[in-house]
Amino acid sequence: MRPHSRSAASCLAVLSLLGLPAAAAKPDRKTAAAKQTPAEKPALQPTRPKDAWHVWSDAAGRKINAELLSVDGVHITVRTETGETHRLNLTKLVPADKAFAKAAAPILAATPVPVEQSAARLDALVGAGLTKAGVQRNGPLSEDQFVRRLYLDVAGRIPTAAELTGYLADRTPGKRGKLIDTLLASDGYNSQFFDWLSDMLRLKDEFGMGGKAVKSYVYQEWVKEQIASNRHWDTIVYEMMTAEGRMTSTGPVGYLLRDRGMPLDNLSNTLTTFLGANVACAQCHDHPMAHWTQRNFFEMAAFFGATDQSYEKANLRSLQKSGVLDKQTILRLMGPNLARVETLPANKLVFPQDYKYDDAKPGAPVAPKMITWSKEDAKNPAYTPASTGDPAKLRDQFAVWLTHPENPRFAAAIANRLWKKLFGLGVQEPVSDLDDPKQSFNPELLAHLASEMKRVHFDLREFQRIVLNSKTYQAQASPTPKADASPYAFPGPLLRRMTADQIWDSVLTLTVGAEVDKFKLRRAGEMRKLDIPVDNPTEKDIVAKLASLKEEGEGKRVRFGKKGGKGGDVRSDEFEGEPPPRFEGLTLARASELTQPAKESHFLRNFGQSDRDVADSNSTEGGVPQVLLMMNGEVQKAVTSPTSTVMKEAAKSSSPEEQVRHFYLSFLGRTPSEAEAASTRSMLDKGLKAKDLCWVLLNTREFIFVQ
Amino acid sequence: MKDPFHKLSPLSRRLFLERCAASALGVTLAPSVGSLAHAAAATSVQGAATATPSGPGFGSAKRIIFIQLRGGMSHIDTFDPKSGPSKGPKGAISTKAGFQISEFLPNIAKVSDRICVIRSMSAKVGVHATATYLMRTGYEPRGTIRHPMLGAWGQHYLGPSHETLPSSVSVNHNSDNGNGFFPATYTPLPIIDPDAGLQYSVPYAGMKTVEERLSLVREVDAAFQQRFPDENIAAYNDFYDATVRLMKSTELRAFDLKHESEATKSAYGDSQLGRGCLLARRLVESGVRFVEVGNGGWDMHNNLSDAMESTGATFDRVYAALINDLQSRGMLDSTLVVVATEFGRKPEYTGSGRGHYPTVFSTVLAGAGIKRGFVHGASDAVGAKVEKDAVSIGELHATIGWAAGYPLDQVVTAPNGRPFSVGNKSKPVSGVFA
Repeated sequence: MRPHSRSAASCLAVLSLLGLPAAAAKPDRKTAAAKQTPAEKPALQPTRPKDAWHVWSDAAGRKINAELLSVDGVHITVRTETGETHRLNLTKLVPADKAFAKAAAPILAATPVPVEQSAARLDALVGAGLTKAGVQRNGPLSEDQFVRRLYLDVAGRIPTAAELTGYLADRTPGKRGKLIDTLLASDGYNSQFFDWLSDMLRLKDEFGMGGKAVKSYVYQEWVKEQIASNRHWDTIVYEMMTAEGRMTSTGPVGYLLRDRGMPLDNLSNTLTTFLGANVACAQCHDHPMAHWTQRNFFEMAAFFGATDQSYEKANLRSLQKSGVLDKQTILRLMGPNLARVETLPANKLVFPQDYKYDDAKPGAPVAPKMITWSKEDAKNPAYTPASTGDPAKLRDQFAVWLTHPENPRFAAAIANRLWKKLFGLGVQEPVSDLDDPKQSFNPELLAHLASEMKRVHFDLREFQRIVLNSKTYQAQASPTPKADASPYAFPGPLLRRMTADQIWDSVLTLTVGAEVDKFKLRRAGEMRKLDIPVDNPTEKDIVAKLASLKEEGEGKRVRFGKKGGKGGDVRSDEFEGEPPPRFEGLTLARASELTQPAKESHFLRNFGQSDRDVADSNSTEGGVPQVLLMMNGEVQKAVTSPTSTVMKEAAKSSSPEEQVRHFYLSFLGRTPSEAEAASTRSMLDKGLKAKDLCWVLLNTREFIFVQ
Repeated sequence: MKDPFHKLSPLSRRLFLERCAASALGVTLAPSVGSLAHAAAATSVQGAATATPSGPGFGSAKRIIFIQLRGGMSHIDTFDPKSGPSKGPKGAISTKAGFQISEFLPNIAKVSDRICVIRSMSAKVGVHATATYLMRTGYEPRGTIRHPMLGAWGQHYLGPSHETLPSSVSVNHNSDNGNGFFPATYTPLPIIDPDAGLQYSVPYAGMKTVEERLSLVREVDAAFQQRFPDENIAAYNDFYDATVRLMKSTELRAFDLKHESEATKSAYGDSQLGRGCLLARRLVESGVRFVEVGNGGWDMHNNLSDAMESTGATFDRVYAALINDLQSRGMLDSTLVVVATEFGRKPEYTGSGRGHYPTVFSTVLAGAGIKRGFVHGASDAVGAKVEKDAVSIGELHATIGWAAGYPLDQVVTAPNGRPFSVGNKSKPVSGVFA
């Protein structure tokens, strides 16, 4: 049981003290997370409790009447009646104010805030940064620009002409907010978010190399389920850290097994990914500049010292020697079953043989201890109770600390990453190093994003909903700042080249229409069939499993988890329901529903899809091979072929003008200007074909950039 | 500060990448800069890199062909034959260079006076994928970084090797992100089928149609581009221009084996390795600096004898043809040909083959600045361990880097803040240079 639920109990007490209904308290996370889907989200209350208004006084006797918005450590954020927000240091206020803030903090955390209000607060903090930089916010997006950007950022693809015109024709107020809600709840959202997480979590179809490689299908589908059911980030991460079991049966064990046999590399990734703690150097020696020592790193690693990933009990060799089954069969069947996480009775971590510092001897046992970023952390509830070193509890203690709302970096790290996803740049960069948040151009904004993340209890969709509703997000894009320019103050998002998956998924939208969101790859069943649910399988268990596989007629097709698709591609029978169409060797399913990652020669990889070996390595750099593909490759053939959706729809047009308009809407998400319409029309008269026009629009920079 | 890249803003980081990314597919985007100054500006330099290194063989290799025999070449059945208990299905033959090689390699025996065999390679990794990675990058795989292959290092230190052609190409073999932590544009261009040449380089709609369409692209794009004076958009404009130049250029002939004489084609033979090595020669001749050629079939656990008669015989023919071809064109003195593999195979001949064996194995160097008709190092009587002058994979990489003129003492700080160098700080093997 996670100790977080304690906070819910204490919260209830404070609420009743202030006469507020207990129903507003934060529900137990696990049950809430499992149930919560966007559709079931409780209706937001229109206003915040009046109790948040207070006259604040500092030691010098200055006063300010303002509404308390958030409490973040020793800082509070308040807003005056005129709408200005201020960040105040609690230690400089009178004791009564401190008590007020302390009592109000859990209520604030438990009280829903209307999304517009949250978005406005965010805009105010960005605005403060803009003022400091002497920059104006960019102008607002037009409706068509908004739709295209939102589809790409939230649904991962461009809108179809029908989706765009449907929105433009809608005359009801608040339609932007409605579209945000619709897209956050769409299949497309799940696809693109999986792509995003896959780069961050280094999700690959095969973990390990060569003969020891194990398919990660059960884990992948678990990740997809977490996204689809909107489980909250802290719960997801907690499960990844603490899960036990086999790759053939338990999804979240995939996180630790991603680096099977390399637990130190795994930890290094965990700390940079989830906390922005830049400790890669400390794995081998004290960090040259940051304060991390190699001892710090090993003390953290000790939380995984009693975690076994290799399943030592299995006597594979004796099974192989028995001679009843051949080595290959045993490896193929047992490999995935042996990939498992379990807890050992003792913490085996010792300092490395080349440990060269005076504070410990090489080979000495390491006691687990959490890293801290500042002296204040000692009082932070995330750090209590300190680990007793009980091997059975080590990983749980680490996971509780890691995902604790008060962990000094956990909320900030994911908030900053999501900000980068939507704006093209983090509030602090790189997102994998938040060791000194003051390095950020706008530390108040980063602190606010972290507190918002906590307030929404790590509900990532809710967090994005707030950002998407802000004026800052809905502002015109800025060109890429020059390398020597001053820090970016976020007058709007950056102009970005689409990510590889956005380009691929958009091209598919043109080729097969919005239906492309429906194709769902389901490969976990293939792995689950191989599962031998006993602790220490004997030859008898293996023989029985083989017999049952053959009986199901799967023995051959399953091929013990070896891939059977042509050229390493996914197979049609791996899709749920109707399989996606194919075109010249390409499977026309979204990037999330193909091999992970796509093979190296694939369109996706050419456009910068990560190899999934190193975290955060998606690239949006250009290159000649990309241009060759866009000009002469299969993908442009698919788009310009008479069977593509965009070509079929265009053929239905009643006039050449309508046809031109249809193509502009489909590719660029806008209508042509009068000049463009006239000039394109005259080209058509001179013999330009529809497929030429498709090729032209596909090859514009306007198509592959997100404005 | 020791580590300037570590604390740079993301935009400066991008500047780093841009400076690295002076080219893609060899197409220069930025004005070309003096290569060493360029490298020094883009990286943090640790150690005394100011003096240009010199010594026998430094910079002698203007181009490199790196043949990677996948699966693990048995040293005993190729370049390090044994007569004792570990002897394989065939014996040894004498060569004109004075040393012996396996009877399986009669053609290579005839060019033995032009090659240098290293019989004392030694590593610890006996797993295919890990060992392949190690041999291609000089580093063991880590969960936190991707290491570059030798061609990408070359592009970093020396700049692009040609105006339109790529600086590195990977034939018969995916490059597996051979750019490592360098920009994606350093990725070796993959040519999976040597007969098919450069994929997508032929506009199936015709060049005239392509140019008409492109003029319309510029028209449609004009307003957008005016609104966003953006360096990334400008880079794409340059990539489009470069692609059109490439599609129209005669340089594409470098990828087309049709321009080879029948005599040359038949010397290399009609195998994938033969086509690959012939393409490699055409490419380095045309200005590509680094070409890797992959060749599978060397994992001879079983039927080693048959496999050597086929895979081994093909290699024998092709390698000898390549050395002769380079020699007759006067290119061998400035071209380094490397025969690399994952590991050797066990001295014990069990069943009909041998298991993986990294403890001692052989590689072969030939050409640029390398001693001819020479054997460096030795294994013991049965080929079970190094007896003399052990060479690590890092040292092999440093040796290749030295021959290619890479400043080995320049440490590059990757964007993750970690320092890396060609061959992981190993020293080149000076004994192999003439």
